[in-house]
Amino acid sequence: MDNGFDADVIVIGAGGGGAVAAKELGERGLKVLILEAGPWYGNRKWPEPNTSAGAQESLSNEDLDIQLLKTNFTDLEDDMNDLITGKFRWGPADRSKGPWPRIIEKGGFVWQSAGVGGTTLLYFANCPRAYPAAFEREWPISYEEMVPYYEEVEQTLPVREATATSKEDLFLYGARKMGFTYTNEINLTKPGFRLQPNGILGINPMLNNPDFDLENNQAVGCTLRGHCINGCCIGPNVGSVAKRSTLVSYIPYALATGNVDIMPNSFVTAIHTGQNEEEGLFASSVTVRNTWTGEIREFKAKVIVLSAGSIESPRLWLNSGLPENEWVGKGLTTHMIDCVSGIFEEEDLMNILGMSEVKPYAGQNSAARMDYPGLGAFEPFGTSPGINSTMIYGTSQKGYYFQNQTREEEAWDREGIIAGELLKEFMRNYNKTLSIVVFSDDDVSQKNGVTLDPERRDENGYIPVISYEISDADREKRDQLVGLAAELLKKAGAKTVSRANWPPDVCAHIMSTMRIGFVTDTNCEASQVKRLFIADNSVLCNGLGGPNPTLTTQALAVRTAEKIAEKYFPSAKKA
Amino acid sequence: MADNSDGLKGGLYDENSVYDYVVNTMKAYADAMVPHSPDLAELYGRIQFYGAVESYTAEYLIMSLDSYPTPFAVAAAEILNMAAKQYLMEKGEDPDLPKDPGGLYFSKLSQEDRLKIVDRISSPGGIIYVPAGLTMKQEDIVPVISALNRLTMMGYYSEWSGYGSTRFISPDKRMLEYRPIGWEQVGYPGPSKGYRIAGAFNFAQKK
Repeated sequence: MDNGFDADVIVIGAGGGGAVAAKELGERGLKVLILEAGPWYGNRKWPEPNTSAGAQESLSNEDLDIQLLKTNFTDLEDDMNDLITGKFRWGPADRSKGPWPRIIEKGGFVWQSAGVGGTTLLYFANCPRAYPAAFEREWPISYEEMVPYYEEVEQTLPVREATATSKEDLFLYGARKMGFTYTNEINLTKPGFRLQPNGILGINPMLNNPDFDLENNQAVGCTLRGHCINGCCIGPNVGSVAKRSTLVSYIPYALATGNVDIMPNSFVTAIHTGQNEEEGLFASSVTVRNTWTGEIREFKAKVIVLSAGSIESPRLWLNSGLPENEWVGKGLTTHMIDCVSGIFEEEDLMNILGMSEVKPYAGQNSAARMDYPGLGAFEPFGTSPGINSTMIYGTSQKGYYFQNQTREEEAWDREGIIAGELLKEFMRNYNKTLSIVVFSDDDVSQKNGVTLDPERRDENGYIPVISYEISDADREKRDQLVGLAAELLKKAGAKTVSRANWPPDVCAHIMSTMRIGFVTDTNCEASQVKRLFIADNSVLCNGLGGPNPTLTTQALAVRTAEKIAEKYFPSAKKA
Repeated sequence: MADNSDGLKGGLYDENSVYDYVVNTMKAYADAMVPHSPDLAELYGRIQFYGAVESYTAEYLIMSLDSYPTPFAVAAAEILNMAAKQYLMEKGEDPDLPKDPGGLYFSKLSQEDRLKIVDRISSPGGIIYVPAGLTMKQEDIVPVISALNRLTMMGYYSEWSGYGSTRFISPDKRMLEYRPIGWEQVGYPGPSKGYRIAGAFNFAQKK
């Protein structure tokens, strides 16, 4: 731009939130520069995204290439999902380099991906709204105010009712046996089960036609192949891929405005400020480090949107020396995720499903859910066997199963890591296993969150330290909800039920470390730094009561973009 | 420390014996996680016999640990062996093994005891020995040790062992050469372009 600025708005991070803000701002005619730390898959300016630096930037949907995306996304879980060397890791595009370090104090791990699309590259695409009660509890804005923004994202992604396969059928059978009922509410106030509202396009209508050539499929629509988590690449072009990660939805929409420029492999290491009488402290520019070359550049804009995720957003604030605030990095909620799983007999499966196997690898990774306002939510899932085994048998804060005695009132038969011959026996029954992931409603506590290691740095600044202590009240809620999930498995006929009992600092739903109303005002503008807005999971005011957070973050990002335009670019109007 | 002198020659590491020490320790752990199982083989077929040994899972663990920002495989092996030695002492057993280039104390334990050791050092208080020169603190070691369980399962049940002769080269150059044993054991058909199974079920019906 010839006015001394590199863009009207710089967006830091092209994940679930940043991509939405960029599209909304671009549609208003504003020039947007997105700086993304990770690689860009399926873009011909980066034909070898993990082995060579490629171009600097891309501004056009012309660059997107579905054949390249199909080459990049191999459907192989170690290649795609390995947290250390996989394509969907928190680390630089160059996989000969290690991941970017984080310190997780209690033995958990962070499940997050760098790259255009961010963690939506691997998410299940479940898109429930928050529970209204969670808004009433702490949010400075009302749930009613959010509804039109929810509707906007639901229509745009789009969000639709998921298609169930056998694992969901079995789950819903169990839910009904427990006495729960189907709910067709979208603003949930009481318990009920339903098919997921998810960001996955409808099933390819030709799928059940035996003459349809799946190998050379160029049609629109989900094919139930079960690779949501490994990276979806089903569709005739990048913009119509079935699972609506922002890589294939909001990013192409943003590019279509002609106003959005995206630079991958660009790690923002500092936000700089200016000061004047009228505004006080305001954000003015960022320092960016190219992850391939190490080249440092500075970009100026009138507004900066921080969308680096719930760990990196506070880290960047702290590393930039922005003003002290007792809530920056504090108040982390994680849903204290846990998993339970049950193994079924062939005969019971025949009776319930009319088939002898659950086939966890087939179908959308999670297509049904049970909502329980007050406690949280849980959902059946199934993935490729490496990820599935780590989730249900490989992650625990309770040691190995043989170290734990199960109490009579507990609905599970075993607790802890399953190892040895029993692991092999259980995994031999992978196809007869129903897995459930449990998201509990954890309260905000200022003790939980992200700080900087006082000594150790990587090339991007001081390393983030994540600490999370579960409160007694939260533990009770969690045990109760996990108990319901385990009971559901038993009621459905599972012969043996295992509880993993994950450490509470496993970060897959990572929320509320830069809370609206505490770090920002009600427009999501930082109270102490004008022209700095936040649009990612960190700005959520709490854990939403348990529902998966992405949709709410995206709805809020639409609203934030509107507020940015109103305040700083009043002449900008949506085309 | 004298206990580690097996790998030292004139103050320098002998790479081969260090390698054996680390590999044998990790093999002992991976074998405890995914052992040979003759009983399962008898009941369900020969494929169920095989375990981590045939799928090179220990090598996967070493490769993964050394891909962290601070390479960690040698240190992890030392921590496991020192914790195992402590455990043997607590049980009143004479832990002073004769010089042995292999996995030493850890591999002498029963499979269940090896896992108990891993559990013990999965909390900060449980680590009694941090190798000299390691830039990590106790709090940083805990999550890496806890990750061993997940890494073992990912290494064993994912496609990785099927990369065969290409399994140690850069991830971008690996080729899937055959179906991993883990896939055969669990009945995973491998990646798919689609399943002709659409159709919501009665239980999902709204009424």
